[in-house]
Amino acid sequence: MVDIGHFSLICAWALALYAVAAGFAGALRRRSSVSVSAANALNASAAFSVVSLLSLAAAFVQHDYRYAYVWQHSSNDMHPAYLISAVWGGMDGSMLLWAALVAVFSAVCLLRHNSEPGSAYGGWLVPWLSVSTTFFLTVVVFLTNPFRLIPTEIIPLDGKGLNPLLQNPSMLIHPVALYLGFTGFSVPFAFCMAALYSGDLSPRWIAYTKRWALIAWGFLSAGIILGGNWAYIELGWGGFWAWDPVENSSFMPWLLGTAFLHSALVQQQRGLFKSWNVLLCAATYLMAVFGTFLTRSGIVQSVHAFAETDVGWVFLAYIGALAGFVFLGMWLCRGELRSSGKLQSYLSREAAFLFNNLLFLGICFATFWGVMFPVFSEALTGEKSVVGAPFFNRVNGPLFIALLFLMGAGPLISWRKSSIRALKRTFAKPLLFASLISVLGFVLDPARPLAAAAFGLCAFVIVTVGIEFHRAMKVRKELASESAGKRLVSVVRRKPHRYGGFIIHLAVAVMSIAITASYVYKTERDVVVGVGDTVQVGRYNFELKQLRQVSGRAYNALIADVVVSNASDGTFVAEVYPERRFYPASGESSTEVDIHMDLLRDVYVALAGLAGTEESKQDLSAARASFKIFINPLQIWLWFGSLLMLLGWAVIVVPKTVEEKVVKRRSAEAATAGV
Amino acid sequence: MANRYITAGLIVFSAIAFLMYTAVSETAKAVVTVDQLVDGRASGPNLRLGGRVSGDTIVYEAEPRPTLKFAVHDIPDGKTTINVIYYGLMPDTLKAGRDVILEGQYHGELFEASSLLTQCPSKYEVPLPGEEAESQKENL
Repeated sequence: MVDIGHFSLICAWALALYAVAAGFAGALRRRSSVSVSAANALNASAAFSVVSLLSLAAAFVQHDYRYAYVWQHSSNDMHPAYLISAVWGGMDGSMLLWAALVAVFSAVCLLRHNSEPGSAYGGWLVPWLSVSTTFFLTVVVFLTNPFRLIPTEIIPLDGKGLNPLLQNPSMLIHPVALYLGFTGFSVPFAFCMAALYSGDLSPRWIAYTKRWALIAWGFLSAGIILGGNWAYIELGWGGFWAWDPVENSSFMPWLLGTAFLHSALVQQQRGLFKSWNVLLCAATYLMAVFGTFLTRSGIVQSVHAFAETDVGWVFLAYIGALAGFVFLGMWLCRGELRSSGKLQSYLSREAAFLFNNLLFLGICFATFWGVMFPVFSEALTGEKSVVGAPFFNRVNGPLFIALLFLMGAGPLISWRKSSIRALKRTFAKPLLFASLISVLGFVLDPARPLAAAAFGLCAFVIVTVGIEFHRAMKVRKELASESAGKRLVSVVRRKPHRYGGFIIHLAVAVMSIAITASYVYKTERDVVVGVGDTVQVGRYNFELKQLRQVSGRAYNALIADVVVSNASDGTFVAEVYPERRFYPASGESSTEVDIHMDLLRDVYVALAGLAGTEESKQDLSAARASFKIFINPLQIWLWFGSLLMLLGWAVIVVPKTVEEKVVKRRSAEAATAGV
Repeated sequence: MANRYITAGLIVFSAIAFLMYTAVSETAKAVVTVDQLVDGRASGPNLRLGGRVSGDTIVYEAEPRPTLKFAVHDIPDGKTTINVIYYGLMPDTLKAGRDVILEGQYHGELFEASSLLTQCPSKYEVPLPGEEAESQKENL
C-alpha cells in the first residue's frame, strides 16, 4: 500500500511552501492572479494536512505498528476512543495536529474573508497565513515526522501502550481545544501583518482580528479549563493548577489575548492604542509559539513536558524572525499608527482599559519571569535558582485582585471623562456592599486580608453586572411585555458583545470565589486506615468498608469502598470508591480518585496503596491502606463558572454567524420573491 | 497625554517589580547537585535537588507516619549518593533509576525533602528497538 499519510504530508508541505513564495511575489508585484494561485495552494495544503492527520488516526485504529510513532503510543488492548487521543499523545502527532489546525484555520479564513481569493489586503493576507502553515509543516516533515517507519525487519505484533494518565476522556478534547486556541491566534496575526504590509490600517483590520481572536480565545480558555479539570480528576494531588511551565505556556498567550480583546475595543471606540494593539496581537501569537518552544526544548524542567529535543530552538529562531518583521512593519506604518484621540482623564473607561492592559501584561511578565527564572538567574549570578507556585501566587494574586476591581468598575464608567459625582452615583452602593463583605471576611479570618479583599471584589463584580442587567431589562420592560426569561434573552441578543462580556465577567467572579476558597481553605491529610476502621478528616468521618481486587481492560485494580459520614452527627454523606490501577503492558500504576461533589465542598479521596508488611498485604480483609484525603471548599463553582464563561463566549461568537446566515437567507428569499 | 500613559505604566510596573522582588527573595530555591552538597559547595534551607534514585535503596513505611527513604546520585551515573527522607506517601512513579526533583533542606548527610516530584514517564519517548540496541552498544 502506498503510504497515503506521509505522501499527503509532503504534498501539504510543498503546496504551503509554494503559497508562501507565490503569496509574497503576488503581493510585492501586485499580480492578483499569482495571489489567487497562492490562496488555492494554501487551501489545497489544508486539505492534504487533514488527509495526513486522518491517515495517522487510521494507522492507530488499525494498529499499524510499521510506524514507530504508533508503536510507541498505542497497544492492542486500548479502548478505541483512546486510540484517537493517542494521535496527539506524543510529540510528533501533536505537532502534526498543530500544523493541520493552522492550515485549516488559514483555509477557513480565506474562504470567509475573500470574495475574490487572494485579493484581501492587496494580496498580503495569503502569504502571512501561509508562513505559519509552512513553518509548522516544515517542522513536522523534517524534525517530528510521525510517519517514520520502525527500524526493524519484523513488524511488532503489539505496541508499547499509551501512558495511563493520558487515557482519560479529557485527553480527547483538552489538547484539541488548547491547540485550536493556540493555532487560532495565527489568523489575527496574519491580519495584523497584512494590514501593516499593505499599509491599510483602516479600522476593519481590528474588527476582523478581534473576531478571530475571540474565537481562538474561547478555545484556549476551554483548553486551559479542561486541562485543570483533567489534573484535578486524574493526577490525584487534589488541585487543578500548579503553575507548572507547561500550564504557564498556555496561560501566557491567554493573558495577552485577553488584554488584546479589551484594548481592541478602545481602538474601535476611541481610536487610541493603535500601535499597542499591533504589538499585543503579534505578541499573543508569538507567545503561543513560545509555549511550544518551552514545552519541547527542555530549557526548563517540568513534570509533564515532552521529551527533550533540539526542535525547540527552531521555534526560537522562527519567533525572532517574525518579531523582526513585526517591528519592520510597524516602522513602515509609523505615521498610520499614531492615535487619533487623547486619553483625557484617569476617570474614564479608556483609562480603566489602560490599567487592565497593564495588569494583564504585568501578570504575563511575572509569569514569564517565573518560568524563565532558572535561565535568568544562572545567566545573571552564575548560580541556578528556581521559583515555584508560592512565587506565582504571591505576585499574581494581588494583581488579579486589582483586575477584579477594574472588572467591576470599568464597564460602568463613561468614555472620555467621568466626574466624581457620576462615579459616586454609580458605585456607592456596590462598593458599600463589597466593603461589607470584605470587612466580614476580615473579621472572621484576620490572618488573610487578601482573601477577604478578593471575596469583597467578587461581590462587587457580581453586583455591578447584576445592576447592569437589571437596568437593561427595565428599559426593555417598558418597550415590550415579555416574560422575564424572554426579556433577558432579548437584552443579550440585542447587544451580544456587551452582555456576553458581562456574562464572562460574572463567570470570572464566580471562578475567583472558588479559586480563592480552595487556595485558602483547602484541607489536606495523608491517612492510613485498616479495613473496618474509621478516621476523621475535617468535618467528616471516613470508614474503610473493604478492599477488593478487580481486573479491567488492560489493567488490574485495587478498589477501596469508603463510607463518608458527618463527624458531628454520624449521618451518611456518600460512599466513594477510589482505585489504584496497575498496567502490566507498560509497568505503570495510576491513581483513580473518587470525588463526592456538592455545592459547598468536594470530598476528594485518593487511594495511595496498601500499607503494612508484605504478609499483611496478602489478606485484603485485614489489610491497611493509605489514602490522600482533600476537602476542597466551593470547588464545584469553578466548573460552574467555567461553563458560564463558555456560555458568555458562545453568546458573543455564535449568534452573529447564525444571524448572518438567517439575514442572508431572508434577503435571498426576498430577492427571489421580488422577481 | 503621553505623560498619563507613562505615569500609569510606572505605577503598575513599580508595584509589580516590588511584588516580584519580595516574592523571589522569599521563595527562590537554589538548584544543587549531589556532588555540590557533599563537597559543601552548596547549603542553605531552600534547596532544589535533582537526582536519580539509586538502585534498591527505596524503603517505605506507611505507619505510624508515611515515611519514604531512598538515596539519590547525580544524573546520569554519579559516584556519590545522598540519603533522602520524605514524610509523605510514596508516589506511583517512584522507582529505582527514575529521576526526581526534591525540594527541602540538607542537614549534612541527610536531605529532608518537603516536596518530591518524580519525572512523569510520558516525558521519555520509548526508544525504538533498533535504537535501543545501538545506545546500549555505546554504553559498552
